[in-house]
Amino acid sequence: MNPDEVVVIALTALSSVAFLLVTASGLAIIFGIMRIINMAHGEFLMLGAFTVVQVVRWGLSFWLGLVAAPLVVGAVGLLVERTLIRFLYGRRLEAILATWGVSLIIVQSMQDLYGPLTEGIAPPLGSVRIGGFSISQYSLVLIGFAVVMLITMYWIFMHTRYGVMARAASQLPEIAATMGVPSERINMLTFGLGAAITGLGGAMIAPLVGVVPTMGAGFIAQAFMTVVTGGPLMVTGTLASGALLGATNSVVSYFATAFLGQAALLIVAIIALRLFPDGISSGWKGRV
Amino acid sequence: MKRSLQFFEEHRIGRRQLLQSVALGGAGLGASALLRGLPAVGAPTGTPIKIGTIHDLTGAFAVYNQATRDIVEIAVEEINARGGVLGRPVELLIRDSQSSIDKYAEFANELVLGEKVAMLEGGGSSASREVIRQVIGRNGGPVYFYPAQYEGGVCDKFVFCSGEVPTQQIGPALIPYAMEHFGGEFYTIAADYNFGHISSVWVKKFVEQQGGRVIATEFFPLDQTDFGSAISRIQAARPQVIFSLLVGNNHLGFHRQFAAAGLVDKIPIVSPVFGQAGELTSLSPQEYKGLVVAFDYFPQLDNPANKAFLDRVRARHGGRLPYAIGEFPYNIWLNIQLWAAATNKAASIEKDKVIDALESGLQLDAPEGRVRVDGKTHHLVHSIHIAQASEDRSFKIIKTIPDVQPSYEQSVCDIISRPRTHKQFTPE
Repeated sequence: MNPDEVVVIALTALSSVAFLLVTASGLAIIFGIMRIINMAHGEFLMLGAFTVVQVVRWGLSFWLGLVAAPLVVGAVGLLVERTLIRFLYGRRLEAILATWGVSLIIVQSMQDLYGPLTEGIAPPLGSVRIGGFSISQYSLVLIGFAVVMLITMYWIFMHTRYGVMARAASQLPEIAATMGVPSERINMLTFGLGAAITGLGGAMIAPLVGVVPTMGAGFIAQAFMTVVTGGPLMVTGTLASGALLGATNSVVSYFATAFLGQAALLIVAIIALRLFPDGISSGWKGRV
Repeated sequence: MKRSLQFFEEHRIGRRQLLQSVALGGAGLGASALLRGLPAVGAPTGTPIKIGTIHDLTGAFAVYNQATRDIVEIAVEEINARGGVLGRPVELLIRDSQSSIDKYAEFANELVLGEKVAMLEGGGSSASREVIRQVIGRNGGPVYFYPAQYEGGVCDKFVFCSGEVPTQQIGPALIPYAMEHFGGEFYTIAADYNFGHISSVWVKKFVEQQGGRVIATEFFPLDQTDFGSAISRIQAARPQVIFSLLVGNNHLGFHRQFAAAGLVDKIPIVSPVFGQAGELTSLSPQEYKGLVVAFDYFPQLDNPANKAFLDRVRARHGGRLPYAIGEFPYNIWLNIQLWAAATNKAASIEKDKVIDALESGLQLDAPEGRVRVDGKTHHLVHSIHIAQASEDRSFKIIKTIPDVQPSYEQSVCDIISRPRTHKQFTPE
């Protein structure tokens, strides 16, 4: 194997990991802090993608769309939390059912608004040659996006008042309550933040996928696998599982087939959960 | 009570549908005013003949069915305007399978056993066709028409396939064109289910027959969204042309990511499927540039039958075409017209007589050109048009091959001499 092939395999694996991380991080927040299984996760991704598509359609810049997406989807998340989720804390099965209903409503609303088909956006940058291969610059930029997203999440949960209280409320809820942590408000902000990050992820991948109202279903399984395998630490755990699963999928896909890549991802996830039933990061000393 | 609730469920009126109905009402008034100018045709009378159609009007495959509701309603309106079938009006029962396979089974059973329809039309993916075919087989009918281009080989007394098959699209059209213009080293990418697998066997057969080589064939699960590795693999293999059998919206990402890697100008793509799911709308011109397809129908076809066909669609939408009409909705329309013509020719709605009428080599002047039922195989002899995706989000027809026979089906299937056949042949 010549050196340019090795470089391309590595870069492709990194961008697959980035793809996985940006689509799963928002779920890591919502599931990690609130233990809510959000079946509308795919739809938050879709809304973020549609936001950036609409912004570009209005003639504005793609990067502005990236700023708008988390704001729009965060607002949607806050709305969903206030009207529905806050009645369902501790009631896991009902939360699954309710968020499933939200997902159906969002998909159908978007189909009514936009029709089943939308003019998407082409990737904004060009391609770069590496020996006999060329890869898209945007997929490399996606790696940068994933890094920025994780650093932002780390900063929010380690260095803001909200973040400290959110972690406390999630890890030791009774003590946090006695210390005066306003759990209702924290949960609202967490769901909104999770939705915002998910919307941002959806906007980031919009130039690489077909943007239609039903697109969410294609991402939800892998996002859940990444989050559950990652374990309790939202940033470091998700990063570890995203890297492990994403790289496995990408490399196996390259040397075998795409189907075996997906199978390998599943097998690795099963092995990881067998070895670490509460997730990879369950024994780790880190704080987020 | 349950039936009337079902009626409302099937006929939910959304805002868009309401507007469409108003437009339709207006168009209907206009059309009936036009019809009064025609030589007197007796309005159909008597008990309506029920026919059923099942398609994915919502869900992930809705993108293939933008035109479907309009098309089936137009087909039935035309038939009723011509005096109906056997002098009786045709009543159309539309069912939305919601892109869910089990709904196909549910509605097929409901229409066949409950409504006792004289004809069933429907199915999109090959998986859905096989589900319907099983229901038809268990109940000994009614006659079933499948509209989509597919992997070929269905040989079933009760089933008629109006879609193109590999020995029409792939062998005589796409492969020779690709070999002549791009080269003989192929790389096949296919959706991972029966259609993708069987079609890719055909690609290999035809490529090798015509002196080329398929370097590799890769299958992608229908929910695959990240094609990074696949694109690297393709580059490592250095093909001269890519043969694409990708299906569904998730696979659209391949074209986005392929273009992002700067490969659209480097490796041409040919496909017997691309373009049916509104890809020319979702993708931007630089992402699909130069892609070559082959189908029996394009809206660009320049003949009076096609103009009249498109005008009827325009009449429902204030004079414009709100979506591209590809080969899939066209074949749906064709299905209903073929059934009506055959039933009138047979002078009976009885299944066996209708099938006999179709098998006698029924011909129609259709928007694609002249279409003929190949009696022994229950497939159609089609005109195949090769076209290239162009910047204005349409296909430009570059070559037309008339009277293309379904030759594989003819070599293995003779329903007239063996009427108890109910299977699908595959090339291995």
